Amino acid sequence: MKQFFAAANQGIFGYGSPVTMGLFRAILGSFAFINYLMIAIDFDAWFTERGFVPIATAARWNGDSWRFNPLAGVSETWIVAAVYTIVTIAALFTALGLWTRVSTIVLALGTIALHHRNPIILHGGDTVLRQGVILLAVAPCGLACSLDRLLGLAKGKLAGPPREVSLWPQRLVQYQIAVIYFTAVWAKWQGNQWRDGTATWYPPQLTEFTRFPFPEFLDRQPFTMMTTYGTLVVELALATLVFHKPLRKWVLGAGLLLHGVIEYRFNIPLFAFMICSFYVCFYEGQEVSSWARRFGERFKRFKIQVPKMSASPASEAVRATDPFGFLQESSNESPGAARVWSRCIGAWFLLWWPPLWLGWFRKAFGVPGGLR
Amino acid sequence: MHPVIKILVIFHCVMILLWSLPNAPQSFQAWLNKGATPEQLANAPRPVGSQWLLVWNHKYFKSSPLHYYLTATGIWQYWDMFAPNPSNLDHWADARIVFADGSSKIVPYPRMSQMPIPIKYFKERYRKFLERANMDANAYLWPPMAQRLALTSTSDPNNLPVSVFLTRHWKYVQPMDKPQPAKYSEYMFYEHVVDQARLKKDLRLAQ
Repeated sequence: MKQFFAAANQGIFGYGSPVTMGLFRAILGSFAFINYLMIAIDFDAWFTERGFVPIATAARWNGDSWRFNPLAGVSETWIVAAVYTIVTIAALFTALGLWTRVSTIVLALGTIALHHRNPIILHGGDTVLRQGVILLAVAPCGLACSLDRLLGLAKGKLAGPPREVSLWPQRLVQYQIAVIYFTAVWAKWQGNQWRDGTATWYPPQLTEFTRFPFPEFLDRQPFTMMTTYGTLVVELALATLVFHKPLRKWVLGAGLLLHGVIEYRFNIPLFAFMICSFYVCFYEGQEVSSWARRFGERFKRFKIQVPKMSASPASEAVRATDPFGFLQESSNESPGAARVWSRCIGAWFLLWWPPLWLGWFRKAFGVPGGLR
Repeated sequence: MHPVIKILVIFHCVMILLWSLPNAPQSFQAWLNKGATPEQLANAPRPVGSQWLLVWNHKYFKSSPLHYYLTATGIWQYWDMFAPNPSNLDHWADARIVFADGSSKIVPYPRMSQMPIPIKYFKERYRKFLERANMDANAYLWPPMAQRLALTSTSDPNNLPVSVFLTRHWKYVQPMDKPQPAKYSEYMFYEHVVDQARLKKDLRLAQ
């Protein structure tokens, strides 16, 4: 028993690479940003007193239970719009990993505030997003895959690989996924249509809910029975078997297939993308890093020869933008900044400020950085 | 790792699991009633196995002060998509707007099936809102809904809407081996007298 608790303690609170949480932050932050841009189109309809959900209506929906809702009594549109804009910018900064600690906290608090301001339009994807950004806010998710790290390297404040961190936030993301699927299966199992194998017949018949066309015969038996029970099996596996490493990739692959079909067939904006972004957290940071290296080897035709970089902080930053190892430091040929940039996926996120990249490039290679 | 963090992590895990467990089925309503008499319980269907956990969870945990940890902080969650059974209600809505000069027009509430595929991805929130507004239990959503439709259907500031009649159109999807209804039923479910002062304010017109 003592050994079990020691192993559990190590598994949950042990230390490891922060790369996975950094990647998760970048992916979920991107979807949060897209999500807020999409809703902004109808901001007037959903977040103002002129809209479908004035604050009194939202308050009634929320009930008597106290909630974190700084917008509860705010009827001025410009204040809500300002908050919305700040949250959207925080989502962008979270995706980029810029001022990560602050931006993730602002994104989490802002998301909670907006969801409590108008809870009536929320779907499952929004709840997934909210849980994800709350976990990001308590995680050291800016230590990898972030502009914070690149800037720290370039300024000489950081060096070498990212420091190891306690993995409990990553374990909480995994646990959150398990809770989602476990309770979803339990809730479904209470319905007779899930038990008799006909449940998946109904949603595609709802004309307001469907999206892309699908072959009609696949909505007949025996396919309906296969998809009904298949959904239950896959969801149960995503709550249980996914923790067994030999089965992990198969279970996650089945989950991707399940959500891919849902995304194709039904109009639930970003739900599949958001929930599937959690899947990356089932891989350790070292696994993600080594996968990137293997990816680089597999696509070695994209590798380019560059001169050996100087021993400067800027070189560390340039190397950190190249997780796939596409830069081969062996030639004397003068590299072009744009060509190097094209191989360094981390540098793609510097496009909003090209002088920053050009500065690092010049210092790393000791040559003028023309965009050629 | 500090023991306080460990305790918080474990506490969080227990909380979200208990909060996310499905609500007990309606058939166990008597068991959810804290004031139920022994006679009422004797006549009610008796939970079996794991159903006891759902009843206990619904009756004691979800109504306990512990729920503030979830509801107040945004950690609340419930995963009942397509559960316990997928909805078989295919519905949409429109409104008949009557204007000050006595004329009227039918204004559709945004309807996903009438939109191009890329556009409806952006507009899905309208469907979600209607899914909730369609329920009689949420009738308090109807006045702001009608007022908003009055606002968006105003084109002439000298001929403002005076009343809105909300109509739902629906059909129930039948099991796959049964004939499907060809037509939607319809029912005018709410008549709204437009708040003129508010409408003018929202239109930014002089009172």
